[in-house]
Amino acid sequence: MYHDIVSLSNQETVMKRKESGASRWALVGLAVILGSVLAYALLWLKHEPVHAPLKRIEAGMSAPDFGLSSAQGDAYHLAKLKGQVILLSFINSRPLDASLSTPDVSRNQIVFLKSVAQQYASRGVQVLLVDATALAGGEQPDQEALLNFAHNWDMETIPVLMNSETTVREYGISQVPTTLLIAPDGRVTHRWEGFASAAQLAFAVQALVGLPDSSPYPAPTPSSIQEGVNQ
Amino acid sequence: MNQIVVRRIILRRIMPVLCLVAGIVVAIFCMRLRADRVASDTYYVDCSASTDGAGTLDAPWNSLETVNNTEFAPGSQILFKSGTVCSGTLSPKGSGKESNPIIIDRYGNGDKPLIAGNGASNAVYLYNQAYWEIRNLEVTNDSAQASNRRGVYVVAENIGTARYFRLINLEVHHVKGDNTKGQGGSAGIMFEVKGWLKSTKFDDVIIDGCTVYTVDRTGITSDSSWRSRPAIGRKIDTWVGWTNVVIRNNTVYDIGGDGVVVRNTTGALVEYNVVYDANMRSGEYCAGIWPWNSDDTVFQYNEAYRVRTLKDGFGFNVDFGTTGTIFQYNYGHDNEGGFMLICSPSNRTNQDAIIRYNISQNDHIRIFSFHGSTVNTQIYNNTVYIGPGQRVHIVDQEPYGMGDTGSQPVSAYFYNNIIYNAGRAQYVLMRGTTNVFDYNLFYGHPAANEPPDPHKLSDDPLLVDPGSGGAGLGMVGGYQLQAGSPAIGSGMMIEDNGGKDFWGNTVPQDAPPDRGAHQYSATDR
Repeated sequence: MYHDIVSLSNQETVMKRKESGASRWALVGLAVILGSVLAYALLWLKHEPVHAPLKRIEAGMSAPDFGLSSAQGDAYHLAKLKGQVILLSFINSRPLDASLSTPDVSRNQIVFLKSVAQQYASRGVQVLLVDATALAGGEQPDQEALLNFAHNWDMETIPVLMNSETTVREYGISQVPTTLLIAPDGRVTHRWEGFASAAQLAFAVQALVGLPDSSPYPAPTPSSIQEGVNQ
Repeated sequence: MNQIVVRRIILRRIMPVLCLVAGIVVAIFCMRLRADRVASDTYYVDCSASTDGAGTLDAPWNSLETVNNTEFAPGSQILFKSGTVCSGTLSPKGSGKESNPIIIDRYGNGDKPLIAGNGASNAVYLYNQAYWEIRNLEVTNDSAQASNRRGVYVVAENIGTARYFRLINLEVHHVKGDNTKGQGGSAGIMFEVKGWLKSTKFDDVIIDGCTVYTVDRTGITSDSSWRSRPAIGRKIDTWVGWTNVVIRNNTVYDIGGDGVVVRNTTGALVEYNVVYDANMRSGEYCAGIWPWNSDDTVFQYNEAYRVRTLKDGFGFNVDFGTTGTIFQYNYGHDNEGGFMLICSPSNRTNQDAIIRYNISQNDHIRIFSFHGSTVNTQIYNNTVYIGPGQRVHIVDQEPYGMGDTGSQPVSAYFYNNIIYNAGRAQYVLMRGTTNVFDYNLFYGHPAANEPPDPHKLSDDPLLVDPGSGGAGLGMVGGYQLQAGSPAIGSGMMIEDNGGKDFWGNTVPQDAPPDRGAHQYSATDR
C-alpha cells in the first residue's frame, strides 16, 4: 500500500513534471506562433498600398503645392517654382521583374523625360520625378536607394523626390507612370496616365515655351543633297 | 474521458505538433530573410583598396586581374564598390544557368563604379559565355589616338547558342574608336558572333536603360559571321538569325557614326530609345536607328533627332537585307538628312517594310527617301509636318548610288498620310516604279510634282491648335485631330494595321480609319 502510495505519488510527480515541461513547450510554441503572426502582420502592413487618392488633379486645375526632399538632398516647394514650366512625373523606381524580361513602363517614361529635360532645359523647363514605387506594389526605397537610382539613370539635373505619399494622394495618382505638365501660373495643362510619348511631351511643352534649340547647322537646301546610302 | 486525460492528450500529442509547425514557419521565414540579403557566392571588388583581399566585403579584391582570373559559378555576384575606378579590361570567366545568372553590379552608394579601359581593345569583354547580367557600371575606353575599340563587347564563337545577356543601366562613354563598322567595328556596346566552324547565334539579349555617348563609331550594334544569304547579295546561305533581342530604354548621343544598328536578328524589338546628335564625326553614311540583314524587326516609340549631315543623316532607316521591318509610333525631328530612308542595292532585299503611325516634324531635305531596289514598302497613317523655311522632298526616289546607277524602287504604297506643308516641298518619283498614292491628305503649300491620288483631300486637317507654339510648330496635343476634321473616318481600310494609333487609341479593322497618326474616332466621337 505504501509502495502503491509512493508509486502513485512518484507517478503524479513525474506526470506533473511532464505536464510542466509540456506547458513550457506549449507556451514557447504559442509565443513562436504569435511572433510569426505578428511578423507577417508587420510585413503585410509595410506592403500595404498607399491610401486611396484624395482628388484627381486634371488639366485646367491648379496644381496643389507640395514640399518634398529630393534623394540628391535638396528641398523642392512647388510654390517656389512658380513662373517655371514643370513636368512632374510619378514613377516606379523598382521594377518588379529585376531581369527586365517583363518591361517596366516607368523605365520607358524616364527615357523620354530625360530627353525633354535635355532639349528644353535652356527654355527653363524643370523635370521633377516623384518616386511612387508603392503604387506599383514594390517596396518603398529609402534615400540611398533613390540616390543610386538617380546615378544609375545618369540624372544629374533631374531631382528624384521622395516620401511622396501625401503628394500622391493630393494629386489623385492611382498608377505609375502619371505625368503632369504645369504651366508657369501653376495651372495643370496636361495629365498623362501611363506612358507619354516623346511627341506628346514635346508638343505640349512647346506650346508653353516654344521650340527647343535645334540643329546648330542651317537647314540645307535640296540642291545640296548627296547621293548615298548606308551599310 | 476526464479533463486531466484530455489535457494530457493536448499537451503530449497536439502541442508538440503545433510547436513543430511553428518552428518550421519561423525557419522558412528566417530563410527567406536571409536569401534576400546575401546570395551564396558574392564577391566584392574595391579598386581603391590598398591590398588584394579574399573578395569579401571586409577584404575585397582590388584589381580586375583578380576578377578576370576567376571562373564564377552560376548565381555568383560580382559587386564593384560605388565611386571607385578600375583600370583595364573587365573580363570575368564562367557562365550562369537558367534562372541562376551571374550578376555584375555595384555595392555602396553614389557614383557608379567606373571600368576605365584606358585604350584597351575592350573595357568589358565576355567571350563564349552565357547567362550574365551587367548592371549599373560606368564604362569608358578613352585614348589619345582613335583605334579599333569598344566599351562593352560580348562575343560568341563556334558555340551554338549563347543565351541570356542583360546590360542594364550602363553608362558607356568616351570610347575612342575608329571608323570601322560591321564585324569587329568600334562601338559603345557590341554583340558579335565570330567563327565558321559551328553555326552560332545569340538568344535572349536585353539592353535596357543604358546611356551611350561620346563614342566613335557606333552607339549600340551587333554583327555576325553567320550572315551570308541572298538578301545581302551572297549566294551561300549560312544566315542564322539571333532571337529574342530587345534594345529598350536607351539614350544614345554624341555618336561619331550610327546610333543603334540591329544586324542578323529575327523578330528583334527596338523601342523607347532616344538617339540624337549621331553621325557627328565619321564622315560616312550613317543614320539614327536602323536594321540590316534582319527580318521582322519592330521599331516603336523611339525618338531620333539632330542626326547630322546629308550622308545619310536620317533619323530612321530600313536598310537592305531586310524583310518585314516595321517602324511604328516613332518620332523624328530636326534630322539633317531626313526622316526615313528605305534602301537596297540591286540584287539585295528590302521588302515588305511597313512605316505607319509615325510623326515627322521639321526633318530636313527628305521625308521618305527611297534608294535602290526596294519592294512593297507600305507607308500609311503617318503625319508629317514641314515647317516654314523648310525645303524638302516629301518622297524622294533615286538609284542606290555608289555605282549602282541602274537600281530603283519596285513598288511603294502611300495611304492615309497627312502631309502638313508650311514650307516648300516637292516629290521626286522615278518612272517605272509602281507608286500608289490614295486617301492621303495634302495640306498647305502645294508641293511640286504632287502625284495623283484618287481620294486625296486638301482641306485643313484641323489639327489641335496649330500655330500656338510659334510658326505653326507647337501644337498642343501633338498632331491630334479636332471634331470636324476631314481626316476623321475618311481613310482607307488596311488589313493588319497594327490595331492602334500613335497615342494608343484603337484603330478599327472593320470601318474606315482616320487619316494621319491620330485615330480621333476611338476616343472622342
